[in-house]
Amino acid sequence: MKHSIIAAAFFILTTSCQKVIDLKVKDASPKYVIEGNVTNLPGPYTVTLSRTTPFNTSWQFKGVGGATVTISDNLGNSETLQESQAGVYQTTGLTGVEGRTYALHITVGELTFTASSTMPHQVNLDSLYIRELVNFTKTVKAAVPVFTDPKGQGNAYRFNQYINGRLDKSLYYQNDDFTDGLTNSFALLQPDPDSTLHVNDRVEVDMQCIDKAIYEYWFSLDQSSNGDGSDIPANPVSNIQGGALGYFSAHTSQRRSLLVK
Amino acid sequence: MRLLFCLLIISLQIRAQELPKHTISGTVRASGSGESILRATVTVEGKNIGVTSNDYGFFSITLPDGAYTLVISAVGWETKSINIYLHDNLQLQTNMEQQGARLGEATVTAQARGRSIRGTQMGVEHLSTKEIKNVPVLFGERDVLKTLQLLPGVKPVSQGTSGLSVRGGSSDQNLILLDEAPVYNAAHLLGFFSTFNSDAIKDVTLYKGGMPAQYGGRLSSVVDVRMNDGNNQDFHVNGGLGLISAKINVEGPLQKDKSSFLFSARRTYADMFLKLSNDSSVNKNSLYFYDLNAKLNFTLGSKDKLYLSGYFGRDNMASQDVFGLNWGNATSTLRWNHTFGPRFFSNTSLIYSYYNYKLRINNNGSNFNVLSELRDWNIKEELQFYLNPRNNIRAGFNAIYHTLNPGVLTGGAKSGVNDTAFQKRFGLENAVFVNNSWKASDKWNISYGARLSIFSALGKGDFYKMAPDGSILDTLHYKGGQVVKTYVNPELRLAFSYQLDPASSLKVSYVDNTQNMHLISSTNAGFPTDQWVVSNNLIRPEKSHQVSLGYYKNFREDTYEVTVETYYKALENQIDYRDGANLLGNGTLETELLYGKGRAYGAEWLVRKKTGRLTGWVGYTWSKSQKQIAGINDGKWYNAVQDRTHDISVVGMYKLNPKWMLSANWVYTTGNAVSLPSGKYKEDGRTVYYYSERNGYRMPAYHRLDLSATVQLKEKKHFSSELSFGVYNAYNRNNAFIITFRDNKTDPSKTEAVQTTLFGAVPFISYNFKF
Repeated sequence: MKHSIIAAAFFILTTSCQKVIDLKVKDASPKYVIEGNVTNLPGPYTVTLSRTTPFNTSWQFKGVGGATVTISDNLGNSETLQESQAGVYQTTGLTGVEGRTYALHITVGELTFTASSTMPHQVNLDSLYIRELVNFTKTVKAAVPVFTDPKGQGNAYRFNQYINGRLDKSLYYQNDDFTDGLTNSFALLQPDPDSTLHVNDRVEVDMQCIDKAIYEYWFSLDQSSNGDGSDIPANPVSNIQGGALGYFSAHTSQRRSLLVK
Repeated sequence: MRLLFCLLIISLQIRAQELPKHTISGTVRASGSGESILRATVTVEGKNIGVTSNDYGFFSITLPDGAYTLVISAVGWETKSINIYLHDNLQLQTNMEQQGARLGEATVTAQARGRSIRGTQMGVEHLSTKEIKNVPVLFGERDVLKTLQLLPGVKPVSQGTSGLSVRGGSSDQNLILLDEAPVYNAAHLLGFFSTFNSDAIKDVTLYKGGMPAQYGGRLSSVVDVRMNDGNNQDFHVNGGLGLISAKINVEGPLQKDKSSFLFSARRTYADMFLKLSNDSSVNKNSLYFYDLNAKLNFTLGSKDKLYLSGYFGRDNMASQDVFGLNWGNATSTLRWNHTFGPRFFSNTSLIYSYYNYKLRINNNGSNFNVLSELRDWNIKEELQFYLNPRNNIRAGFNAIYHTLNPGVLTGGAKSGVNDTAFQKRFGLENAVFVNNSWKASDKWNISYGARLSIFSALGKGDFYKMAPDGSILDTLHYKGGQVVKTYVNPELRLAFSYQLDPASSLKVSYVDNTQNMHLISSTNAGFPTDQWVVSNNLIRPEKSHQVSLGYYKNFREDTYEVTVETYYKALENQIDYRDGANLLGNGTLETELLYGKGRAYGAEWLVRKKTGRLTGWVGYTWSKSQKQIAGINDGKWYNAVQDRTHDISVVGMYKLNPKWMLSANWVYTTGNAVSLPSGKYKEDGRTVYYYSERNGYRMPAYHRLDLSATVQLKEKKHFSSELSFGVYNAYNRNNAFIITFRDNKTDPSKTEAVQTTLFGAVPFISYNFKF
């Protein structure tokens, strides 16, 4: 946020400019990346295990096969995931339940990674509507998810926005530090002032109720790791133990869609 | 016969010992304005005895009765000789004439002494308004802090801004004083202009090391800015009109010779051109700052003088009705100088300092305001006892009561947010100090002293017991005024100087410093919404220990000055932030902090030409600044953001003829330390960058050339005017301000690095007048 304010202030007055440059960086030895989700919607749920790509090469999904991946819950249920392709592991029978705590366990070679996430109780996404608002110097349209935060601090949410079937790459997340008990009025505003919803776009919003550790993950990723001018670039705060990047999230999921008029 | 001779000798000895001593004391002033002159040297001709006038122009020298010629000199002033016959205490008011004032051009004078070869003070730079006047700076604004950045050991934290990094320190480690009041946000418009209106400034002194015992509270430097008192002889108005701002300065006597006033104001108006636009997305934006300086001083008899000064400044940034941020400082100081007899000078100050910012958001379903403020009430007492010409003792105390109100969020019913107020924080910062400047021998000068810092964190408030991972184990409730924790830190202040010959010396100093106010800023560049916090049960005082060694030589009758200084600073309780720390809008901010050590060392070279048609300097600094914090970079030492290996500045001012003055400066610095990714991965198609270390890379090197010329248009007795014009970044170098990353639009599997430059070549023109 800070750098966009500085840039805005001076775009008004000065001669600032941007250009693409050639950057040489040292490539670190690859790290493991884990992405795992369990929701309250019917499965299968997917856990991916891959490696980081060196900075200057084109990104490719480098799946790591042959790992043992299990998900268990706090009631003693457990399932070993099946590898569908290298690095992609899926559940067969598991169905996520609100309130339960899920544990992920991965063994690959001599390494072990574990994580734990508790699925919060679902807060309903009541509806969606479109609002016009100002983004820097332009007026844009954005979608507002309508839901009422339950009283008592500790709720956190994440939203994925699909515009005409394509995932909007911006991250949307919120907790109730300042909005406890209130009905949401914040729109999913795309940061780029040139991006707006157009009439006849189909917008679909997936609202996820997430736990505190996963909120921390998305918050820290957005602050420090998405390359858009963070004050102190760093890796996100992961809930995975053992030295892997990524996250394991047990969350509720509810979708609504709307045609922009 | 021999016995008689012996008796004669003995009696003469007795007569010599019985010679009474008396004191010559008084104030050194500028004739024509009555302004007091700091650091004027008062020496006894033919003897190696002398003293220096203090911050108020006061001096006192005690000698045995007899006839003397006193020589009074100060940089930029004609040296004065006064013959006196001392038989009783003598009050001497000296009026100094401007150097070269009668001749109308700069002349080389043998007595143009720049700096004290003899004195123990090292790590210090003084700037007179004359020197600031001819250095080209951003948009032609004469900026005290930007000029200091052209000296070795002093860098901007981020190029173009005025947050200072002195000897590897961060921007909050500088004690910036305006007439003794601490200024919390010494920058306008996000750091591009400084808070100090140079028309009202008399003197700026920067201590990079060897800080005398009367200063304390910040680790890396002291920037002591003194305002003019106000001409007590005649009225004067001067002003200026530039591309970005307009300013005016009015001063004059209230009662000739006895009291005077000074008022100056400055406002930027570049944003007024925005209002001319037809585009409503442009004409409703505003970006401006203004500041006001006011001062009154009264001479109440021969022993007392009273000064009242104030500063008020405000910045405003708004984008239509949806976003507004305004911030600023207000300070006021009431000072009373009193002399208890000719050898004893006292200054009592009452100081108030206030900083706040207000944020207004009216967009995206929310309509709320945030107010954050801090307030200091400060009482200071300084006594100076001029025991004899060899010993000058200073002692005093300083008490500051800090109130911090980190954030009050008000929205109301339809605002989309709940009204929230973070708890206020209170601290009492006390210090006592004593120091003696001792002229031990003809060659040795020693300054020794100590300062005791006592800080207490006070209630009312909740304080926490924290686990190593930042989670809160217990909350302790304290009542108003209750002491939560007290920290006592003694600080040693030592300085030695050894005179090798009349034009060269060797100096060494050791200083400890303690800091109890900490700026929580992830950018380190000083954004107005950065939060100040006081030490408490979790946040310990930061400490520094600095040793420095220097060699000083003047050449060709003080035409050239060469300075070489090296330093090593060890820092404790340095603060950094957990990964993903939430620093904005966090009621339990102290749980996001991590602590560790720091170290900074380097060598500074400066060659300066002070007189003649061509003046200026060349400075080079080699330095390193690092931190080691558990939880960051795997606990290994890493470069601080402000670490920059090489720093070169070349500044030249050339008086072409009596009407034209040309100046140029060229700076070159290694880029800041920066974290760059060493890998990447995608989640849901979004690219995430992987960082394997903190600050392991450098931004590209920064260099730029600024040129300017000033031409005297009119120079009459009652009116003078000049025109200044020039270019900032004359060869339009695209210096990198920040590097960001994005997916290539046509092939998202490829990553592009994008460099943003803030300023290309920027021309400026400004018109200044005086009557």
